[in-house]
Amino acid sequence: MEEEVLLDILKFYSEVFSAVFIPLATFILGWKLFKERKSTGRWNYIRIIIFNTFLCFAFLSIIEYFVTVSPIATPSLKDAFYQENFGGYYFFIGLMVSLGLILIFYINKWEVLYFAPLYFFGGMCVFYLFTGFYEWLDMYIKLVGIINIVFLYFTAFRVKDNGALGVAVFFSLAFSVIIIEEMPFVIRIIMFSYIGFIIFFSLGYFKPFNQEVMKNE
Amino acid sequence: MSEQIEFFIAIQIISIFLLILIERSVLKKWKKNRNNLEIFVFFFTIVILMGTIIRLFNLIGLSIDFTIGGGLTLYFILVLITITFPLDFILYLKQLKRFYLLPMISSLYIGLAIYLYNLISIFILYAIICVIINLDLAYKGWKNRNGMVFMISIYVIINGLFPNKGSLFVSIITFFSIILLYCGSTSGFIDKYFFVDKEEKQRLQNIWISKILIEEKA
Repeated sequence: MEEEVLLDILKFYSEVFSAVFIPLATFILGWKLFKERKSTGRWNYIRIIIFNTFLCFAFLSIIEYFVTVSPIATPSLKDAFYQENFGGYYFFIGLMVSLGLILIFYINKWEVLYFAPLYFFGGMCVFYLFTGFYEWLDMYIKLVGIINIVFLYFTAFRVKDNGALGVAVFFSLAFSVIIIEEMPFVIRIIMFSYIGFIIFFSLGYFKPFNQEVMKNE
Repeated sequence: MSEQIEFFIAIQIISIFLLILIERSVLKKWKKNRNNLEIFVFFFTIVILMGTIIRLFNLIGLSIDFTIGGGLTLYFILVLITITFPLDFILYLKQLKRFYLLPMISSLYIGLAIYLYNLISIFILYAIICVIINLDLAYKGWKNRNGMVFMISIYVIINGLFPNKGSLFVSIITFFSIILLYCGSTSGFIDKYFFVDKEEKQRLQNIWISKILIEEKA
């Protein structure tokens, strides 16, 4: 009984913190992006991709808060949000893993593949709208998620890029939440840890490598 | 066997012969200049050749075509490749590397739509879009006086407009489009008589006139 109460409290605070701090961290990343654009006169595309990844996560956190713990939350709203057929949750996760893959291709300069994940994911969305077919989505998220984690670590250490390593750590934490479904206590702890990590990352303290990869066009 | 079917078979056999001639000539050209355009034409013609062979076998009564899922046949797969090739070629000409995979991924989903739900309407929509885009390729071929590029686009436009190969009318049109492809890519007929380089022609004429004048003076 006490454990359930503790879990409820942890769930409430993790959702609230996610809804507040993740958009805040995204805002900081966006602000830094525009600041850099102003000072250098050029866009840093790696920063843009990272910013968009976190923007998706910010939207996801805000909507998740409203459909799960906010006063307007209802079971039907929650079910609609977590539906596997392109409900909000799976849509944003799919978009995030696609952006992660774009980041890998971008850092490695594989130009032919730059937008391939977006084409594939966009095609899946359009196909769902036409036919109602969504069976590939879950498989896509899990497969691309694993590829993301492996290749982001690999790329980050190869080119010594802080951004890629940051996203790799974030994906590892966020993805473990999807995989470990039957351990609610561990999930909440992980949620708190990735909120803390995102803030740490957005403030620019996460710098295991001294150099930064920049690709401007 | 009715006369109509015999006529159909004759058309297919001549088409196969012409396509083999194109293949041979393109390979020869490629060995000389190692140009990527020749590789593109080679694979493009192989796909058309396979489609023609399937049609020929169907007419003889030895159908080698098969259906997967809802309605995805081997022939549909080949048509999808035929219309995807020129789209990629346009992107290659424009050096839009980031979009190379877009036609391929679109084809994958259209194939999936036919495989799962037999949605031919999406395929027709895609073919219409390809025809419109190919008009641009035809224009580029015309503008740059490139007979091969022009005829490939004309072939795709004709085949995109008339996808039903069952009727006599469409079969004749397809046959003529293969002849056009042959004229454009192998024989040099188009380059020689339609896409004449006027400046080059004028330059050669001037050389000959000056040669004759020099000889007369001497």
